[in-house]
This record gives sequence, C-alpha cells and structure tokens, in this order.
Amino acid sequence: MRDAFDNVNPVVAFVFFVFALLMPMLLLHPVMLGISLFCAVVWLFFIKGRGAFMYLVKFVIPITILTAILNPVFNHAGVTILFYIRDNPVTRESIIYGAASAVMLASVVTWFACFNHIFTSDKTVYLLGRFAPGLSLILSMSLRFVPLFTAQAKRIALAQRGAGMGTGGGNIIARAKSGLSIISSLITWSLESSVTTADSMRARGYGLHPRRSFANYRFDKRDALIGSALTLGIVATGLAAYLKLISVRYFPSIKLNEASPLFLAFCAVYALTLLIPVTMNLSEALKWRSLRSKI
Amino acid sequence: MNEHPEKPNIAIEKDERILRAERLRAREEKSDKRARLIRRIVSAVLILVFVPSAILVGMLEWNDRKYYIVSALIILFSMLPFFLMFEKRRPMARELTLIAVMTALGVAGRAAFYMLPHFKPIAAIVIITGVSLGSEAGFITGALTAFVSNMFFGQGPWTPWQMFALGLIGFLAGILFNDSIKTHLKLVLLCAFGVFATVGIYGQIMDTAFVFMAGQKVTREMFLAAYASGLPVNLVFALATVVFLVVLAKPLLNKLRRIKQKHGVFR
Repeated sequence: MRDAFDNVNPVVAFVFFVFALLMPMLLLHPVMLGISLFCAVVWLFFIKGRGAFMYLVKFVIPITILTAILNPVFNHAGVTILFYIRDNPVTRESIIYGAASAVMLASVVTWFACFNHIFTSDKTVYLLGRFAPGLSLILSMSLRFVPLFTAQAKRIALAQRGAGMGTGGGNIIARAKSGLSIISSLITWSLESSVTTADSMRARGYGLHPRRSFANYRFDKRDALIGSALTLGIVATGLAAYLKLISVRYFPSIKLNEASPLFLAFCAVYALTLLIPVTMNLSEALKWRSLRSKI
Repeated sequence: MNEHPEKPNIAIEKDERILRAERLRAREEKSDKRARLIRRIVSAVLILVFVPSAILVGMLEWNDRKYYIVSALIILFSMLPFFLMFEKRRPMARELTLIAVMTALGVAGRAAFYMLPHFKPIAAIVIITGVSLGSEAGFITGALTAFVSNMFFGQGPWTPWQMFALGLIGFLAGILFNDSIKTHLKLVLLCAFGVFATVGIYGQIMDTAFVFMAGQKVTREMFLAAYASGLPVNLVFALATVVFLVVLAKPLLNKLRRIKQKHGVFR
C-alpha cells in the first residue's frame, strides 16, 4: 500500500529524514529518544503493517540489546558503582548510558527502515540529478543493469544448454565451470552493450543539455504546508538546544535539565514534527472512512 | 556527368576542419588546466578546512561525545572532492556506462551470493575496476556499488562508511597496479592487496564504524573487542576476494583492456 508520505516532494522528505535521523544522535536526551523511537515505530507500523513487527523482533531488538550490554561491560566511567565483573566496576551511569545509546541506535535504524520504503530510487535520482548529473546517471543505469544482467544470464544459460555445454547438473566443480562460462559471456556482452548504450546516448545528444529526470515532482501547496511545519520544528529544536532547555550529562553523574513548562512545550513540538507522516496517514484514513460512509 | 564535381574541395575542407578541431582542443586544454586548478583548490579547502572544523565543533560544542556524527561528517567531506572532480570533468558517455556496468556487476554479485554470508565478490570487482579503469573510476565504482547495493539491502548509518571503504579500495588499487597482470607474481601481489583491502581497510573501517554507532562514549577495549569479533567475518570476506580475484582478474582485465583499446576510453 502506498504511504501518504510517498507523494511528498523529495526535497521536503529528505529534510524530514535528515532531521529525524540527526536529532537522536545530537541530543541523546532520554525523553527525546523515547519520542523519536515511538514516532518511528508507529510510522513503521503504518508502512509495513504486520511486517513491522517482524522487522523489530528480528533486527532492531537484537541490535538494541547488544548495544545496551556492550556499553556497561566496556565503559567503567560514572560514580555509582553497582557491582564488579572480574574487578571491573559496573556503574549505574554506564548502564543508563548504554540503554540511551541502544534506544538511539534503535530509533535511527527504524527511521532508516522508513527511509528505505519512502525514498525509492527515482526520488534519489531526482535529488542527485541536480547536483551530480553524472553520478545520478550511473546510479539509474546500474539500477537498470541489475535486472537486465539477470535476464541476460538466464538467456545465456539457456543458449549454452542448447549447445550442449553445461547441463546445470554434475558435481560442484562442473557446475562452477558452467557458471563461470556464463559469467564470462555475460561480462563480455554487458561491456560491449555498455558501449552501444553510450553511442546511442551520444547520438541522441547526451551532454548538450542539462539533464532532467523522468520523475517531475512539483512543489505544491501541501508540500509548502509540510515544509513550513518542518521548518518550525527544526527552528524550535535549534532554539531549545541554544537556550539549554534540553541538556543531559551522563558522566560522571547523571544530570538532566529541569522539566520546565517550556521544555514540555518543546517536547510536544518535537513529537508533532516527527509525527507529520503519521498525521498524514491518519487524516487520509479518516478522509477515506468519511467518504466511504457517504457512498 | 561528373560524379564528383567538388572533389578537390573536399581535401581543403578536411584540412580546415582538422585545424578548427585542433584550435578547439587547444582552447579546451587551456580551460581544462584552469578547471583542474580550481578543483584542486576546492578539494583542498574541503579536506583542510571542513574536516578539522568538524572535529573542532565536535570537541568544543558537543563535548567530544558525538563521535558518530563527527566521523560521518569527516567521511562525507573527504568523499566530496572525488565526486566533485568527477562531475566537473564532464565524463564521456562511454565512461559513465562502463562504470555503471562495473557497479551493476558488483551489486548483482552481492545479490547472487546471498546464500553465503560475507562471501561476496564486491571487493574483487572494485579492485579490478580500479586496476583497469584507473583510480578515479575505482573510487566512484566502489562508492556507488556500496550505495546502490544498499538500495536493495537497506540503507543505514553504515552506508557512508561502506561507500568510503570500498571507494578507497578501488582508488588504491588504481594507484598501486597497472592492468597487465601477466606473471604469477603480479597475481599473487594483487591477491595480497585484496587481503589487505578487505581486512585492513574495509574490516577496520566497518568495525570502527560499529563502535561509533553503538555508543558515543568509546573506550580502547571496545575497539579491541570490535576488531576481534569482526576478524572472522573479515577473513571470510578476504577469502572470497582472493578466490574471485584468482578466477576473475585475468579474464576480466583482458575483456576490459579489449574494450578500452577498441573504443578508446579510459586511456
């Protein structure tokens, strides 16, 4: 199913992801980390449905546990010593810091999972095409070549079997040999066809005109709305960090900022900013429901 | 009827055309030199100013704790000059398609060996590209192979590190070797470089990245533990690289040399 955030202008979407990915790493504040992880997980459930659960259990949770264990084992800073493992002190600060790092990594990985779903190759090529036309062209060509090579490899295998060269059976060495001869002719074919492609590009005037991408994303009213909300969130975060509204110290002893009303207000702004995609999905779902009940 | 009424004129026209082409080439070379100087200055500024300032900001503003962000910034700033130089050179279409083919081969290779974890031909293909097509193409191919294959397998905080590590391998391969691997000794040397590249460069960089990702308060023991636990994985990758270099290096280099000679690219 298409996510509501799919149609957002790639520039706006990219800024959103940079914000969502950088903030947990930069702030490393327990409350902010919790908000970030929560928003990412909720969105992942909107994107993947039940698949999100499997992703979390198989990938995110193991990384989180590993990081949470790794820190206190190797890091002995902090003043509150809880117990000793082989003469090495394990401190409360280190355990809490490890937990914070683990949540940070979990939220970053989950945001990346959302990123992988939203940022398809055509958006990447669109974004890169403006700054790096050559690189984005290589990118889109190699993305095309991967399925093309796979199809050609099958064709070569069929042709070689028809010529009675490799039957696909036999022991490992025989199979490796027939595989190698397939790869060999595949490489020759692909190198030769790459030159043909290049000649065709030149004949059609490659390099005469600045490159444009196939997908043309307009910057519409909704993008402006999302963009301004996002800008507001980024400015608020910068201001909060500048005014030391959010601050945290883990070593030698843990010290958090006071839970002032302003801080709570900032937390709400931060959460709302990160919840932009979820809000969009919810409003789409509501719209769909209200429309359906009218029919 | 005379079949070629303007036959004598053709020779003169040709001469004029050749002259014009030569004049154009001279002018291009002049502007090329200036552009190269500017590119060199830009990359020097990037590496000499941006990298230290990223470290300084990390030390002063972020209390020396944001290792991951600072290191990722350093990596991005040191990759930018390569990409900038490549873009500003306005590469030929044939160069672009050849690099795209090598990138696609690396990506397809990673996908084809999905059943054998860490036993991938990526590094071998990047090394061969660097050796045959030069250090610049080697860097671009390495970095883009990492980026494109992560489009299939998932981008993550590890992407810039993989891009940098593989790009560096291709770059060094292009500097250290030329594309005539005729003696056994040269093949052995290439394989030795393959082992160094996977264990010493790729493994080292990725294990360091893992420590930076796991926690920003790092200790020496954490690095040692990461290198120790990463060693088996790196050795499997090194074995794969040696196997693929032994099998692929000679034929692939020959094929590439043939393409280079036949079509006049990357010379």
